[in-house]
Amino acid sequence: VARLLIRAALLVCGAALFGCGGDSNNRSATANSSSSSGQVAASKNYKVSYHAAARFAEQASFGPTATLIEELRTKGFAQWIDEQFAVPPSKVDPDKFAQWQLQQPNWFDVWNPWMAELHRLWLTAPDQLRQRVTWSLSQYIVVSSQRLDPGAVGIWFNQLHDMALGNYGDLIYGISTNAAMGFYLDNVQNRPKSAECPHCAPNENYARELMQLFTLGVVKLNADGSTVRQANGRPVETYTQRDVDELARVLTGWTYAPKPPGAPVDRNWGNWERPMVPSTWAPERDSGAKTVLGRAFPAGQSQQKDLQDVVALLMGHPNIAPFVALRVIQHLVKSNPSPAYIARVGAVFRDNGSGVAGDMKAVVKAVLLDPEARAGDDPATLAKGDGKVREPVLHLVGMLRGLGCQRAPVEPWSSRPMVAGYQNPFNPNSVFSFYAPTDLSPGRNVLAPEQKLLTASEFRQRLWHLQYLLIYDWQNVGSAQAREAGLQRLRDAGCGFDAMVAAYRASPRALIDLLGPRYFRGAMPASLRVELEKLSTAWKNTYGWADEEIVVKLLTMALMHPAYGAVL
Amino acid sequence: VIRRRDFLRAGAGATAASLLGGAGLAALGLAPGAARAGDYRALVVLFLTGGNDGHNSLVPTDAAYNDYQAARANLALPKASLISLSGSAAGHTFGLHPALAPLAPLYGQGRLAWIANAGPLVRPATAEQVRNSAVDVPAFLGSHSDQVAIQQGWTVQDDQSGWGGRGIERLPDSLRNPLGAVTMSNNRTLVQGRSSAPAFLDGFTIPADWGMLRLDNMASAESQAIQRFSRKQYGQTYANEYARSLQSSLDDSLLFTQAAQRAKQPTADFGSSDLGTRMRMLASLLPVLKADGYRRQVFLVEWGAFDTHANQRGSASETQDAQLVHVAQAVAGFDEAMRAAGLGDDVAMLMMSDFGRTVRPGSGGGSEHAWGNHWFALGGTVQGGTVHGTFPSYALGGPDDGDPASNGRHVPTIATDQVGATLMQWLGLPASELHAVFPDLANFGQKTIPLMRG
Repeated sequence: VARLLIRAALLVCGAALFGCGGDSNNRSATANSSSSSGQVAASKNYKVSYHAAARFAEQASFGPTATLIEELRTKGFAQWIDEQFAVPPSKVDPDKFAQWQLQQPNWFDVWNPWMAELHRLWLTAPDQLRQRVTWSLSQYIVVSSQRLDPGAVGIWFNQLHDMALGNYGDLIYGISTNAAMGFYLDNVQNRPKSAECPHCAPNENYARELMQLFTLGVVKLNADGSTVRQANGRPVETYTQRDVDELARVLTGWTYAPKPPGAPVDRNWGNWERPMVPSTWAPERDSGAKTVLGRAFPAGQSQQKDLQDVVALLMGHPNIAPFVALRVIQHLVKSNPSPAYIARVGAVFRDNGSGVAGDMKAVVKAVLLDPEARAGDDPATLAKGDGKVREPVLHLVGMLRGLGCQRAPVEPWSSRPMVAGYQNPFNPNSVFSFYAPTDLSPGRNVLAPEQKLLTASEFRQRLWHLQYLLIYDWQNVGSAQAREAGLQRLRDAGCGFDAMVAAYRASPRALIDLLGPRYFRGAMPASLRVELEKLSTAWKNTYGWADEEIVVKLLTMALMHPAYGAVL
Repeated sequence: VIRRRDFLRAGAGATAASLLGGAGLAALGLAPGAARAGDYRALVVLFLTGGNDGHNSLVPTDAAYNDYQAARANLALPKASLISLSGSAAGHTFGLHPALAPLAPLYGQGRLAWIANAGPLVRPATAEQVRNSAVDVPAFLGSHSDQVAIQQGWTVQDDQSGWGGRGIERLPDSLRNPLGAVTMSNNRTLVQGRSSAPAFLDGFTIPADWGMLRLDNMASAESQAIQRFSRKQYGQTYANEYARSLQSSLDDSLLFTQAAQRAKQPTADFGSSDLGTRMRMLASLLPVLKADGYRRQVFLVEWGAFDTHANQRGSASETQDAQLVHVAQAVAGFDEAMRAAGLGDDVAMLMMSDFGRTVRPGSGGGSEHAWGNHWFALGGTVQGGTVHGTFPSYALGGPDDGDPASNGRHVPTIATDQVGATLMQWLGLPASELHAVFPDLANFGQKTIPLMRG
């Protein structure tokens, strides 16, 4: 048996999906968990423990892989972050969105390859930190393929990705002139009343959401993110309807960039790759004087100058630092940060140390290196309220990264990439996205935004998604042919599922020993380990399922455990 | 009396599988043909997300049409296209948006009522008071998320519960049952209790097959393992949040699946939209729930993209014109199915939305966020065939316009709380509990409106 175990381990290491680093015997991890027996790497002078590196990878990437953990342990967090900042952005290739510029493509013929591209990046791109930050920003700075062509949303992803680690002021300018955003929140149609358009009046949609959702929020905030209140306890509002009216006037007069003469009439009517440009037709622009939040916008300013002044106004507002700090912290680290943590990150937003405000590299680094983010690196120091519920996208992509997949496997019943159906990326119902930063869990009233997505539908998908790849076939559900086709789909996506099956064939314990370091930071709860061993025996004895089916069910079951359902 | 917790504890036992059989139900006091089956009432709140333009849903056809046409300009519906409603009410004759044609006969039969210029208020307020900042008004007017929270909940931001959830919590014990408060989407404010979570109902599919496990075989090794995961207490807040979400999803789904296995598909036409699909699912389940002895339920059904800042008119899929077609088909289908199943007097529906929209159009052929709005209520016990309340003036800067900039933002003349209190009282909420469920009602002399019969 011992020989078999070693062979299985060699097979897994040889597959180079996961090194044998980490606590593969699943001892409860400690700050010194690098000292597991039988590892080539044990003598290395690591800067952080296996557990700490895996935990950091859950905050700063789309999930741990052996390579990433090794890199983090070798370099330490600060150096890794600095190096990530220097990695060029990995972007989706719009040419892969087959025929998206045709007049009437099938929606899924565009959406499927865009999702395949996005998941390729999330699974394999070297700029993992930027990928994770872009995904975070995209969840509160929203355009959605429920209104836009999916191809245009794919291009939006690239544009947001370019801006994600730049300056937040530039980001505000960039999204305000972005063609997809111009369409999604109607600012491209924002026109004043004029003789030429007697029924026009400023379109307030973008003006309102720019303040409410992208920069300030509806209540005045203290530097630590707490609400400023009146004497009677009611929150002080950030702006009035009058400010919305006036800001809408400021933002009038933008139009899609012109397309080259002779360009075909196609789905790219918004010229999505290019920012909007100022309209040169005077009636489309309100060039009068305006006042927003007490700041005067003199008459006769250009669209660009007015927008630059908007950026200065928003960047100078006391709300924006705690507003951005809370959101980045919630998406990367924890749902309910202490006021002091928000204030520390907010201070970095205000001044990166060189007098620059809005430096997102500095903000992200401050979020990830804050003592409150790192407190749980040693499990003994994890506070009761640390972490958050794992959102569906991170559950699915984390699972696939743990399998070593290079692409999202294709679902046999839909011919689509396997995506989180109940957090459909870049496709939320409205600009209010999947959840709000203030969402409390019902009945228990714990600040837990991602909990909103933990419905019966989501749990059911987690329970069937992977195993149906393996057993689903229109003609022969659960047959040997169906299973072989499913295994081929996983191989086609580059997933290392066969290595898990090999481990299981060596012994169920060998498989469980793999799952611990891959998905549980080398610290799989002992009770889960017992459950998996019991299930393995029960299934083998009761059902006589094929090995592959048992493996996929053990993996699925392990990831249903609260130790994976929450990111602590 | 079965408290939700006891009920679920019973379901959590080793005999959970027997819940799917009549014997298990009987043991819980819920069973097909149970003696107490019969006294059933359900409130279905259809919430049109984004802010449905009530001005283009219910339109006066008398002399006021000219004011409407002048004020709404390019948004105005041609008079000849409107579907006439029988009789007159609130001092006017009315017509419906042509897409709402299936609702006109229901109005004529006295099953459907409109509620004019309703919306959130802290206390009674006139437009003049609002323009002069001389009266307390709800916070964050114009903000989607906050107005939804206020309309479904109340005016204090830090309390995320809703009046449906709070009302269900305060019903007499004899009217309590599992699945009392239910949402059919991720959004849930209306049905969120102060200390209890709503159930979630997937409107598209509620199979017993969950892949790894079957809800009708909760004794299997995998089902038992999942239940051990979900019922354990963990030392970490978010592990517990996850576990309890998993547990309630299993418990609630077990009950829904059990009902679905005995449900008959209604023959009514619900249309082909997602809303129609969900309303069909709901219509198929309610007769079974009634027969099993459930007593009181509130359902939240949110649907739509009604934030029509631009392109409000026309045939494209996200115009108001196009979406109202789906609303009318789903609502009329639901009503027909309820009547066919003998639940016509047991179920009431309320249609509401984030807020109304400005009277004046905006550039791009749309309208902006406003305040008061026109809603409808439907059901056999609704005082239908009329328009409740006071119909507002279209004059920009006129007697109903609370906007100092005269964009036509109507100050409501019926409070959301008055409508909610009326419906919760219909469900059986004692008058003594009204202020606990609707705290701002303390500021109103009139607590309810004459929307329901008896």
